[in-house]
Amino acid sequence: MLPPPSHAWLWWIPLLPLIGSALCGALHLATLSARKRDPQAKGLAGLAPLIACAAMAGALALAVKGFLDLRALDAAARVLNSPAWEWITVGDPRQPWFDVDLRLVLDPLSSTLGLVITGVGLLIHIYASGYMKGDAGYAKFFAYLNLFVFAMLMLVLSSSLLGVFVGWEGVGLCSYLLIGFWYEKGWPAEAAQKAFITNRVGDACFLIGSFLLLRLFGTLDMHEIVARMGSDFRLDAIDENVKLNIALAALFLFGGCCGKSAQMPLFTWLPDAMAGPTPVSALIHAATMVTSGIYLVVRLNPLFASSPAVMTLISGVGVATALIGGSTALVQRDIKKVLAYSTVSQLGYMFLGLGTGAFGAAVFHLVTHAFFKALLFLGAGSVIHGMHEEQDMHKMGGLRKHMPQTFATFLAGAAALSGLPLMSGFFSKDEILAHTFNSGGVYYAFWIVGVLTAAMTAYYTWRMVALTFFGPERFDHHHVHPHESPAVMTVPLMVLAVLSVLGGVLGLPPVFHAAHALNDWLAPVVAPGVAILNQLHPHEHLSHATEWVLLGLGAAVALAFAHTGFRTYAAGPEPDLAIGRGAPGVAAFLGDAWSIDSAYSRVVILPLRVFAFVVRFIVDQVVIDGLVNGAGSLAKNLALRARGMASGQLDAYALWMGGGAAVISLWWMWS
Amino acid sequence: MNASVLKTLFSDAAYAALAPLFALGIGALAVLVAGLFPLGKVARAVLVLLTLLAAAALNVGMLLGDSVPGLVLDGTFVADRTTAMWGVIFTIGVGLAWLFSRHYYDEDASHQNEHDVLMLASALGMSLMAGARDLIVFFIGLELLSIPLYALAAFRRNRAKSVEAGLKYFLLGAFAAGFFLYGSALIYAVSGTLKLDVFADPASRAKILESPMALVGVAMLTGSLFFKISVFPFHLWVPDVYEGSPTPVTGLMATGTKAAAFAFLLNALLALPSSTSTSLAIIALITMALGNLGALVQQDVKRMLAYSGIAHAGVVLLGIAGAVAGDPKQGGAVQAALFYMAAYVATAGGAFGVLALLERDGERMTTLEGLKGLGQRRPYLAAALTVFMLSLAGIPATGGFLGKWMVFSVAVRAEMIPAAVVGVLLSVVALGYYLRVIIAMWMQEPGEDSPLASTRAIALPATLASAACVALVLVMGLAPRWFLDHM
Amino acid sequence: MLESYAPILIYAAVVIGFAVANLVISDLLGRKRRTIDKDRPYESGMTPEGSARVRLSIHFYLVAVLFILFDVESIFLVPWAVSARALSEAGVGPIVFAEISLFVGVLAIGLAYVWRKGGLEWDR
Repeated sequence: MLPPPSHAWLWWIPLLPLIGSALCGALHLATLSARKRDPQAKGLAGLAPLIACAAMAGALALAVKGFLDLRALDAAARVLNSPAWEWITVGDPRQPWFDVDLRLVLDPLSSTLGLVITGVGLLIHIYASGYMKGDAGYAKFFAYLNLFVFAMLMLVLSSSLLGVFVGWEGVGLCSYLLIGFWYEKGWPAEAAQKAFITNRVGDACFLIGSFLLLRLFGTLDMHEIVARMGSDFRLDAIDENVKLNIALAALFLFGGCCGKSAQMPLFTWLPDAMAGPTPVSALIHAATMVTSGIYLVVRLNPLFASSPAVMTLISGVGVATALIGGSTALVQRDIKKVLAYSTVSQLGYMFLGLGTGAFGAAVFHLVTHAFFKALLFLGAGSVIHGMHEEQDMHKMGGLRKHMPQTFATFLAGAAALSGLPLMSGFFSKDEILAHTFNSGGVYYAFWIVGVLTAAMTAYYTWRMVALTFFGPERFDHHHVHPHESPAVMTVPLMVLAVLSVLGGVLGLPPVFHAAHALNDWLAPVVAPGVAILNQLHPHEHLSHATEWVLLGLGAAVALAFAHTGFRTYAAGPEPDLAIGRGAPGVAAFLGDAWSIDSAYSRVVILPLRVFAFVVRFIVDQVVIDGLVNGAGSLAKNLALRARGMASGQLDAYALWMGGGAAVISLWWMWS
Repeated sequence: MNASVLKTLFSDAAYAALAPLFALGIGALAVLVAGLFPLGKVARAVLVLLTLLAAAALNVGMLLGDSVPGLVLDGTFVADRTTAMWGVIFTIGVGLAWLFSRHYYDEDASHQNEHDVLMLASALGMSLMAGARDLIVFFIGLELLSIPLYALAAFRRNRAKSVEAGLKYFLLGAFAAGFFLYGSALIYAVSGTLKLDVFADPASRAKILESPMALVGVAMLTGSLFFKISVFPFHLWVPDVYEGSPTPVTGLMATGTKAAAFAFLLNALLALPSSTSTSLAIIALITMALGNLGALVQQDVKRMLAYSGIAHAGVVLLGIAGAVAGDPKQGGAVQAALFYMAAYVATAGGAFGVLALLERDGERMTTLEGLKGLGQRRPYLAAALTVFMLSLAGIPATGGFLGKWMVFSVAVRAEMIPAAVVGVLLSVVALGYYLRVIIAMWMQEPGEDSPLASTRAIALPATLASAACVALVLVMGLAPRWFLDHM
Repeated sequence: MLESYAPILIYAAVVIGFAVANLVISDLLGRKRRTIDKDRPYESGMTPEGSARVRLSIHFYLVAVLFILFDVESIFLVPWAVSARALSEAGVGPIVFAEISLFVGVLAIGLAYVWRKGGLEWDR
């Protein structure tokens, strides 16, 4: 159970960004009214990044304080609890049938996520103050960005599932606002809408999952649910029906994760989300929001662990997504699209790890991925900035001379993403693959696909590096003058580069005979799920020899394919064109992400549209009119309609009412 | 009739129970009489406002008071906290419609007084419906609500569409009223009483419902209520009538009328055998599907809101189906529906109000085309409409979200999981058309054939009303305790 | 139960029989001379020919509605009048009288309203 609610200061962690957001919003409004008088006026918008960064720094400081406070406690007692905001109580106050208290809880898991969100978030805020300079909505941007951080922190700090949902929808809303930030271009507005609606499909699943949990446990407090999974909902204490319901709840919650974390089949919104400004892609669509699905599974780990079928499904979905994302990234020309599909693929890895019960490893990969993918996105942003908004890698090349700092930091990020030995990504990815290998059975197949995807990752990463920074300069020298970005943008890159390279020390593999710091840290949180898994199918730890072999294999694959990718494209994009000529079908299939998006428009969206039109025009008008008036007077009716009189419908409406009442009467008499 | 019953008719409790109704009735008469004298516009507006405030205050007093009158008038009318809460909701709904109707009727301004009287009378009808525990009392309330609305729907007499809307609403409404009377007659024929409390006792209820005649009667009653709350297949009138009626009146129809019919439906639930829950759920889902898909293809936001209102009625009906299925804590369903409707009144009332304000700017302002670029022209109005759209879509931190949450959770508790799944997924579709409004306002520039908006200042009453709606929507989303504690 | 309806049944049979017998007898005994006017359907003295869409003054409707409104008043007064004695014996006579006066008063307000608004003036 939770300790006494004595840490009111926890509320300040999310509240600081919220206040920052409100202040930036006020600045934006002030700027707007200043612009009514003088269209060129900047107003006080220049203050916005200062406010936003100050809010982030404050939140980071508090997150660090929370981390230190937790460290000072015994491992088993590492939970800080805030006073509750009594949100909803329905029914008799003494015994409400529905009671939600919003409280913030800091434990090792939320502390880790909180540090990533505020830390990486602060760096991206600083970067954005340079990147967005001169934009008409400068203050508005920071208002949205801070609001996003608020929602994200609510998501990871809330102990109630409904509080998580508030954050969950909040980050979705902010993501929508930020993807559509440059709506004047037209397509960002559509991409934003697509992202929001696709996410809502997942959110619907989340809602249903939480209804099921509420019905089962009578509460939405996740700490209580986890605790009860170890007491009155122990696996040997519940019957098959309850087990089925728990599996169903886990399944629906995972559906929610698929939406937010861009997994099969709901991943298609993420590549389109790249329409947003690049700092947004780095913060929301790489480092934080898209990992909330992983957070949710780890948070409710005993729930998932108790249904092996759902666990296998999670791994399967994860590995399939990893493969599709990785293979699609192979042929993309837009530098941000490569990174977007790479993110989809890496998130797939994390789910693969979750499905094997490697909760700690998934969080480890989440953290390192936040470092190196944020770095790569920001680096790409720096490139795009220096190239005057050019994103096509075929029109880049040789940039290492023009932007050396961006180049050097980008290399560090690429090395980490491709899993070159001793980089952070190497350790985290290897840990997931080792767990997959150790799970046996169908997981061997998953492992093979995982290794294949790792090879692709190394290949497309170094293809990207080669096309962007090496080879001949393919841009138009008259119009484009590549230049290094200002220090306010490159310093965050350097910090992230250091983290990407050294992040591996958080979780060294057992063969190094060093403590796995992150696993030890997270142990109290993931222990219930791990215990259930061990009870269901106990298996040995990998022997050191096997582990050395796996590590060596991972290193060899990464090095070999990184080399191949780099060598192939070092001279220019000619191989791409060769693929396009040689196997146009394959190139188009991969380039279009296995054509899943167009399949959607055929299978889901088109029928929906057709159905809506059928309802509107056929059922409402033709059928009803036809039923009553017969085909002969239909034409007359339509003509009347055309004249602006719809009076012919009245008798039809009455007929439907009468018929409806008759059918209902008969139905009730019969049932 | 014996003497003791006669005495109870005139007890203090009865007067206390009827006090809000008296306030509305006296107020309506006072406004009517005031129209005969050359009083100033302001004086008459103050009179309307005082009437509404008095009714609201009496209801709030009942909510906060230690004891409630309970069942009065020989068991035909109940005044408890739920009735009082409904009363508050109705006064808010009517108040909103009234505030937004100020300055709406340019060409019919000379009849503004009659307009206000009719609105107050409809509020009286709603309150009577919510408290009725007897079919005849309910019928009087229903007609007291409906007849003013027929007139109000046709209030823009020189517009063909408005007159058409009034006539359609009247004819179909009369048809539905016929259903109600016929159904009551059948129930009376079997049970020998018109009071709902015969259904309270399980034994007598089972006995009555054995008779197919009573079942048909209950079905006809339900049908006539379905007409008012616009549930399939009794919803067909909604788009035409909503579109044609003056927009403040449409707002009242969408919020007040619907809420009043739901208030009685929740009372009459006891009459529905639990075997009907499946059919209710199916009707609810069909309603949601037709409403959401119909809304998807609309270009006119008023029509879109009409279809969306159909979908929302479907959601509440799903919660009711859950309650009928035999949820042991039936109170949950009543509270969920109450909260949902309260949030819907604030949200849809505000949305129709904003549309009414825009309509004054020009005839085609309420199409998606006309809304383009509204965020730049009128940022505050656009912001308010955005909040309403988000609440209708059920985004957290708004009242619409919590309402939806509670209703669906009632359905899941009643083991109606497949229905809840379909319902939740259908509400995803809804986001599509609500977002289109937001995108049009904030993310699109006015096109070449977009109507030009005037820059007339918005009058104070409308500003207050929209601000109040936004505040209500957000308060119900963030701090709903007060509402929930008093339901 | 049903026996108690027997007198009504007998009464109905007599009434129907009388009407039918009259018609039959007059048809048998009477002399038939057909004229155009006689073959016309009976419409209370109105000419049944010509356009059905005769325009009537809107005042007809107003007067009709007002008539119904105040006609209903008397319907409510009758039950009160019938039970007035019983009510006063039960001790609620004054209060019920107050109520019925209130009812008439409300209608009076309506009448005043109509009058003042010119609803009773035929030529306007």
